[in-house]
Amino acid sequence: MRRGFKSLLAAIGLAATAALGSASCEDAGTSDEEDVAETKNLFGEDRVADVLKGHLDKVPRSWAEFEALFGMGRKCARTDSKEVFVVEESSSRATGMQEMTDQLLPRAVVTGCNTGTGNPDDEPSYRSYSLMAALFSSPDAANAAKGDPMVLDRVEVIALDRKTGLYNFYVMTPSADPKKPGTLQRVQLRPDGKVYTYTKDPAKTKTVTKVSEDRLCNNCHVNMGPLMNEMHEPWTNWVSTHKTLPETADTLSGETASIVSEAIAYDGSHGRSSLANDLEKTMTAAIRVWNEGISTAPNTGFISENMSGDQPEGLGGLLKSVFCQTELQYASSFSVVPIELFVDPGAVAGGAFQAPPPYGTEIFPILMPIRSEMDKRIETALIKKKILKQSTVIAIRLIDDRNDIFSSKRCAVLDPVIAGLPTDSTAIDGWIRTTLRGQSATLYKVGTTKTYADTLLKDAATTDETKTARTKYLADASTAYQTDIAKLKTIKGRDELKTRSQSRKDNARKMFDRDANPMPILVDEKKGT
Amino acid sequence: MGSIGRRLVGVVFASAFIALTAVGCESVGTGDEEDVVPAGSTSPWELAGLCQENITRHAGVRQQELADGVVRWQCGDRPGVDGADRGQEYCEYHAVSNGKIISTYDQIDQTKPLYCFFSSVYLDNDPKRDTALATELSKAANLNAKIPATMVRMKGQFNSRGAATTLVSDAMAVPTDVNDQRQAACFLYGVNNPTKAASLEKACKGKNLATKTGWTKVTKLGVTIPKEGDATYEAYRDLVSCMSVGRLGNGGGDWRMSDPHITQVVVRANDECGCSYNALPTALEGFLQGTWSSKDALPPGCRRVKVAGADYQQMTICEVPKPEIGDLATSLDYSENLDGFCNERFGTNIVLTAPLRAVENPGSCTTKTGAFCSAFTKTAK
Repeated sequence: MRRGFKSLLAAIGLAATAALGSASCEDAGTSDEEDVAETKNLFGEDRVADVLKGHLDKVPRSWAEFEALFGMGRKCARTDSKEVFVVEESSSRATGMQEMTDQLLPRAVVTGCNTGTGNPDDEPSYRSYSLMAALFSSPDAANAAKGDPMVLDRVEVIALDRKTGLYNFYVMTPSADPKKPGTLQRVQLRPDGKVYTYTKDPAKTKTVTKVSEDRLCNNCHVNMGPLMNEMHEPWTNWVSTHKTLPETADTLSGETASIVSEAIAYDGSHGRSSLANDLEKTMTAAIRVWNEGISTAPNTGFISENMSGDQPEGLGGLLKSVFCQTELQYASSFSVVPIELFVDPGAVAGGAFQAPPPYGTEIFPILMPIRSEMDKRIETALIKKKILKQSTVIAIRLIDDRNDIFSSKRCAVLDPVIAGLPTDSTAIDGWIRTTLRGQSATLYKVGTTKTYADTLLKDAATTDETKTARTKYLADASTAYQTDIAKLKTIKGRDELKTRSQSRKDNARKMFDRDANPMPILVDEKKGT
Repeated sequence: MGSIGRRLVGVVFASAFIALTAVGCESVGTGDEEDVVPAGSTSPWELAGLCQENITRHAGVRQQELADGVVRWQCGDRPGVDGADRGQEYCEYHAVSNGKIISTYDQIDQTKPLYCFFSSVYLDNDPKRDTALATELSKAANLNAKIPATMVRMKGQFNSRGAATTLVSDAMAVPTDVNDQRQAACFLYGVNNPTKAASLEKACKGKNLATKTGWTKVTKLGVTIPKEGDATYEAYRDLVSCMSVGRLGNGGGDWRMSDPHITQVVVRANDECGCSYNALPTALEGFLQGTWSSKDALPPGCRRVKVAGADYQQMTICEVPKPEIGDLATSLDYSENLDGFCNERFGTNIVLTAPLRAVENPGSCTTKTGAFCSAFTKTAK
């Protein structure tokens, strides 16, 4: 039996008075393992378990062994792509923290080898996103000095759990005895918000379960889902149609050279490729399924797991994605300037606003934080699950239609919303609308913005009323937008825009103010050009 | 040679500037929903910028393309194209429900699959083929509904075999232009020396660098024409060749992905390697659809239309997964713009291939040395 929604709210209530330091529901003595959808042991129900459960003698000790056992990477049966996606970095995350170097330290994301068979109906990318591995480089790797910096004796994997719809995190490393199979560790974020590890060392008879003081994977995967910071064109730093690795890639050797050349052969020696263009679509599908659940398995996925209390954030955490932000994406100018520099696309939805082209030879911003696919997907999923109405969501966006993220005005509404959140899930949307209506006079800019918001929040508004209000709002927003994008044409205007971008970068650094974090290297904006 | 050039492009350009900030669905602003395309260049400097962007867009696959003797670009339109102007890249696409082209969520027949349908069948393909292809399209293995013959061929005047042939022919005939060469050198120098970009722009944009006075000012800023062997030579040659798209006898769309890319490769192949090309044969009914990783693959969820039981490479059907149909209901951006959805969801990952090698005159690629020609002529006829 899964924990009901009401008990979740009780848990939220306890959490709200966190100063009590009270034990979580788990520690409260239920010891009711059936309440927790996720298994509390080494394996979930996923592709890792399919291969290794009951066969711990096969736990890979290296990347090459993993590839062979799981038919991924260079052992993927596809002939056109081995699904090895590579991102160029000069920083290393080998210690879990980001450290700058002057070396080429490529990372790779390897997806599960989609030969086109074995996918469920309506999920044509399942075989790619249901099992994904990450490889990183380190200047301290054994052969790094010889141009082979990839760490190949630590395989980090996420696998989609068929029962929960969540991703299970695994790490495979060699055991102390090189003759024995590898050590398998599962890292799990539990409903009490703690990170647990389940470790099976072949030298020991039992699986060791521990609460980890380090948040491990959770440091970067804050929602324990897949990450791709630079998810859209131009996929900055990823090998894509836009870029190969730099010429210094010629100095790579050994396994690193072999692996990264699968992204694209920079010498044209083979025709296979794995470009970020394609990974974007895989990740989009992965984030959708992980949030909304597997279509053939009801009540699965991040949303349901939070609603039922099997994930620590609960409904309050989900609403944080709607009002504030929990993760970030990073957008860069290319043929167009990211529209988020000027307006929140969620607020002007339906307006067909076109992002403007960059001005001159100076291309900015690069890697500007924007609203994450994760947060947007949670919002969409809450609408699809009929927890929130679309009109409510747009009204929330209109609180600050210039900022898709880091809006103190919009985010400030979250706490009062959560404080009075009803226990009946069908009443949540009504409560939020009531809260917004009560603050309408101060939340919304007087004029067409307020009229549009008020109409959206009016329960009996007709379709025509809403359309009329939207049209007037979009007309005003369009005028403001055109004035704003004209700033690209002057140094003074660009400086103003750079200040905005810089503010986002500064806020991102504050948001992830810890050594181990998911951010890419952010370069500060340079004004006066 | 084909008779339909890309002159019609000029008609589109007339209203191009309106489009950048146009507001579409709600009919606010200009109300000009029919002309949503990016702005073309107004000077060689701007043309250099558009070309540099397009070169960068394909930089990652350059070596593969040269090795294979092909030119590739995505079917999906680039950002800035919307409304009735979608389908600028020798590839047109539509949402299809129960055999009908639809544009809004409300029009979806919820009892039937929703498809995004991609056609690269040339506008001037033999009209007699329409009925046969539409009959095939209607079969259960394809769209499984009666399909009108009008859905087979593309509609854009520029999406024709004749236009493509003219583009290639014009690219072989385009003369060199000193101003373009110097503008390209100036622009590229700015790209590689960002601190000088502003002063270079001032010295070059809108100026005639073919004059001694104009060019002298620029050379004083450090600009030179790169020579073979220089680090920037290949980039320079790519750029100046691409810029020929602005001087083609019958015009070309400089903001598109296909025209500048084809021009860039053909000009270099012809000028530097001696390669020449014949008209695209009528047997080629459209440019071939594939993915970046293979001309024989398609994105997940997509399949080739079966014609007489065999894969047809110029028509692709992508079935929208049911959970994503639900997404459309929640999206104000896509619920009234299903073509936009098809573009983003599948079109950007469907890749068109122009098989230059297939129309190359045997023995015409006589120069096989140098970085470009050695790579490009490896598999020459």
